[in-house]
Amino acid sequence: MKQNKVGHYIVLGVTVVVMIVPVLFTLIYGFSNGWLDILPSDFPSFTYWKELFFDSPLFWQNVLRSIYLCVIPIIISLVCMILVMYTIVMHMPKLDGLIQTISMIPYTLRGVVLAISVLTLYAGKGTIFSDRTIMLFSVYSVIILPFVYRGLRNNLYAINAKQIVEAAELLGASGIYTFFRIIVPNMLTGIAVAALLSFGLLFTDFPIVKLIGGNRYETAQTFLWNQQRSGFGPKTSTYIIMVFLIIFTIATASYRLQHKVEKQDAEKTK
Amino acid sequence: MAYIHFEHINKYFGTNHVLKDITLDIEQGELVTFLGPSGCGKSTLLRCLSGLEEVTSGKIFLDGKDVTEVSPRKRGCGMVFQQYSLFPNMTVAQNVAFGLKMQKMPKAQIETKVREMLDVVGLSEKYDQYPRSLSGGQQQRVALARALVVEPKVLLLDEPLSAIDALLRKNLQIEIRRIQRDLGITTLFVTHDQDEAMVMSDKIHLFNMGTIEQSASPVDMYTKPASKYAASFIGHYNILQADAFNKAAGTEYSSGCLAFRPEIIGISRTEPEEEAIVIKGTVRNQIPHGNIVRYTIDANGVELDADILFEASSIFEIGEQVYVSIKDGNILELE
Repeated sequence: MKQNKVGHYIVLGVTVVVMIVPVLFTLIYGFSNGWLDILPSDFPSFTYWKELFFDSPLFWQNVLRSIYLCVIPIIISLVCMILVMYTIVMHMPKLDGLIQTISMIPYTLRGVVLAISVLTLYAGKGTIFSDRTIMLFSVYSVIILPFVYRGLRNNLYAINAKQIVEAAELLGASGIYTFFRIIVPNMLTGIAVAALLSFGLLFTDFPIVKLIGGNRYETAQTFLWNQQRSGFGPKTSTYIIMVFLIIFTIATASYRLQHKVEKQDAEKTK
Repeated sequence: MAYIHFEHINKYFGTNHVLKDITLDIEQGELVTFLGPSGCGKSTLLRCLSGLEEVTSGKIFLDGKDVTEVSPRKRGCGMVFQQYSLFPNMTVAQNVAFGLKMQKMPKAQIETKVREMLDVVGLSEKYDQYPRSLSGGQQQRVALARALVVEPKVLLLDEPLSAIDALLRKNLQIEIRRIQRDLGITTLFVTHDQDEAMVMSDKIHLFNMGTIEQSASPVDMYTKPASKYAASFIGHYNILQADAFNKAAGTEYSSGCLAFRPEIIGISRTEPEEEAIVIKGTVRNQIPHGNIVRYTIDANGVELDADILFEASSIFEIGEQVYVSIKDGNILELE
């Protein structure tokens, strides 16, 4: 038994090393001026970190554009799904299965297929959806549906929304008052989990923005791609580490929130 | 007209006929229990009164007014649910104050009423706490306070104690009954637990598949079940076919069902001299139930359950030959 545990630790340790080593070396590379045989030269050098923070407006512009491109679709998707899920839980529970199926479709239509299909349908048609930004918002809103659906649904059932609304109604509250003053405040954690998971997915997107936005849009990911192809190694490394840190922070926040929600749910079912 | 009057209530869920032509009166100030197994329609009737379910046909009168089409917000029903349904983002005081706030009562008055009501349910010290920091029993008392503070015309309790552990449940049964008596509020209580119904009710309505099988006081319900179904649901009646019992005991009951409670059966090692129906039998099983021991006895081919006070000195062993005695007047003949 003890031997088995040692084996598990070895497998786990090797996996962690394999995953951390590239990040670690990229970080070291960022603090140098290049590789000298197998060692980084002028280590530690802060030249490119200073440049990143004080003289890289393009990078930060692209990061901000990425954030903007993520936030709007997340808001659209959340608003739509909150209303849909509320209606389903309150009035049409039988349609839950259908909504679940619809929400899972983006899992099967991964990025490239979805982007090409949308381009074929709407590009150059002169409608509002032909606008590349609108197109990108729409595609992003759809692609995060599985995360949004799952997060909101679990939350609504966990807070026992139907009975809470009934209790409020018997005490004289209107449906709208109950929705905004009781249901939404109790869904904030679920909404935050869904938003963070979606943000993590959209922030790291490369194929969709490249296909739909083309050269019009440079986001953090496309910027990194271009830098990796034409930029100077140590400088590019600082960009990569910075983007990694942003994504890592989001992932940690969503993990912690999700953990908190699961703990609360477990306490409720005790 | 009674304070609450259900008139020929029918309710369908799709093709499922859940309430079948129910007509029922409830008097003001009574605590009435709807008792029955899951799916018999008791909660649905309660929800129809609250307005959370619409009736398919029939009329509901509350305090002399037809409320069949009135929205739940305006019916004046206070309700406590099985799962408490407290608002998690609000403190105990805010939960209790919610209904008063909806009535646009002045703040100072709300605070006074909330404090009074929390005193009534014994939770004054939890005023500023959130529901998640309370035990199940405390949460249910907050839910009760929230329902009562608005002074509803009728208090509806939909299996409010089902999710609470046994000891606390017994205390809450007594607590709810005390509060109901003190406030004199008409209360409808839904439960599937016959002991709970016995402890709490002025009157019990026993439900069976969308109809009311029997309506009676707890004592009458227990001692005079009107049907085989009532006898099997209330207490732990021995229910036998008259033919089989006649054959075993040498009696001459007319055909149909006979029912008698296990606690009216006597067991002895020697033939009893008292005037009773006596059958010789063998102890097949013996289960201690707190202050009684339940024996299963094979009495001349029929199986009888007998509850005897637990006395260590007079325990009958499995396989022992015994005499079973039943007083004739204690046997009920059912249709």
